[in-house]
Amino acid sequence: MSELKKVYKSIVSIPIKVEMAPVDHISDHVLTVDELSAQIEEARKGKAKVDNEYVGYAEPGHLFEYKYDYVQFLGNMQHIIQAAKARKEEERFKNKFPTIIQ
Amino acid sequence: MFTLEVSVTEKCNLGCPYCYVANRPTWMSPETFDNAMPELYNLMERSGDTEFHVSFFGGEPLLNWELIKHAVPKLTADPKCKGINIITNLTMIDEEKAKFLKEHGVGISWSFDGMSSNETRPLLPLLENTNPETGELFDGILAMYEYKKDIIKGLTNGCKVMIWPGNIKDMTENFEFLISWGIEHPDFSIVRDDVWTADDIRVFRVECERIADKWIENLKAGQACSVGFLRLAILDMLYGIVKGKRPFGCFAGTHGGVLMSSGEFYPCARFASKKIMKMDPEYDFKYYQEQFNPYNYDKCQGCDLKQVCNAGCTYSQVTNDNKPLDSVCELFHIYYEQAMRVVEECKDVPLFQDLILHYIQSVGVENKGVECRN
Repeated sequence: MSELKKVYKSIVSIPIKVEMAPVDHISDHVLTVDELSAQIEEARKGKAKVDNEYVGYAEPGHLFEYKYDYVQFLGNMQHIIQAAKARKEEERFKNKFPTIIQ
Repeated sequence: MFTLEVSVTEKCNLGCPYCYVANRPTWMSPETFDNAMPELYNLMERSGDTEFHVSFFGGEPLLNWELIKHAVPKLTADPKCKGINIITNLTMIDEEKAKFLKEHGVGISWSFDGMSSNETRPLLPLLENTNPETGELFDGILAMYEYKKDIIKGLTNGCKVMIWPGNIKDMTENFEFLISWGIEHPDFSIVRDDVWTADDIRVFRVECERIADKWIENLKAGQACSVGFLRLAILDMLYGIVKGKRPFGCFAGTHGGVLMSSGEFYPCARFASKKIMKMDPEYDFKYYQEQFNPYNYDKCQGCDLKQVCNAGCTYSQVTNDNKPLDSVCELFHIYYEQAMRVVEECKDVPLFQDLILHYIQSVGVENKGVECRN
């Protein structure tokens, strides 16, 4: 007796075609690295409100004690940006490891 | 920027347990799409936006390829459309579709759960899930992806892994697995529904620390990679403190909506699944922009993440008396803390420094002056 092969049904038919040009994903107002860096400095001088103290809300409360030191974080980010910028463009990682980051 | 999701079908060839979309046989027709465009402009005007971004969504959007091929050229020709994206499981990708998506600059948001996919994404017994050479059902979704690996890797090296209580213990192993596939920048998107128990959150904390450790270890070993939610938290903190966070949490109902295959607009597919808050002529964007502005939640006023966190999913808030879910707040606290730790521990790692600069250069934040709060 031959074995009956199971036939699977499609949930849709997939037809058609059309073509056209790619879209540009461009903005005129993008924040540059230098502008950001300058604004981090302003934030560190107090133009932005920086919380460095845990403020929990009473109800229902948190499971854990958290600690966020935003002042230190901003200092770290400024250090990181400046260190990366100090390297030549062609020596940065993206040239060694071509990558897409979504 | 108005975010338009286009739900081209609610049908999907997979059965992921955390998915909120009913697997129903609804299909958007080209006529429905065309007829909805004037209403899109109307909604944009009412929300105060002048440009839009489109995400094709489902179900599995590649199941309605006819609609995508109809809509994409129209959208690329529209000067107000600033980008197109497709949120897809990519199981139905082939050379022709990949070529079309690349040629039209359509971004790929690949929904893939990594090594636990065979459990979290069961294959339904459908033609779409069979090997075209043998006619047999693939032995799990990983085998299906293996079959199309070259096409997929030609399209993207990122993916969106949904994190929910069922797979948190696999996060680090999934990260390693995905890197071994050449997917160095998985998104790891946390399910922000009311599904997390206190015990789940405790496990999440341990696992979040573990995946942060793995990221740090990889960076120090020279492996260019990132964990999506930690990467996003770093940027949210940076821009939140320096520029002020955006005045809305999710696009849903405030600066965006979903076009369903019926031609109706809702804030997002979750609202559509319950048929609530339909965007009819009475729908008031200003009301929702005020109600769901993360600055305005009473609950957030004393929170130490108020400046940087965008308060999660609007649908969850609507179903939680218009306030962020306690469990989701807890998850945010955990991973923001870990993101800060990664920055501290890797600040002198050249690869991490380059990655951060690359994120900043890629993210395209608008510069409208310092918007910090005093």
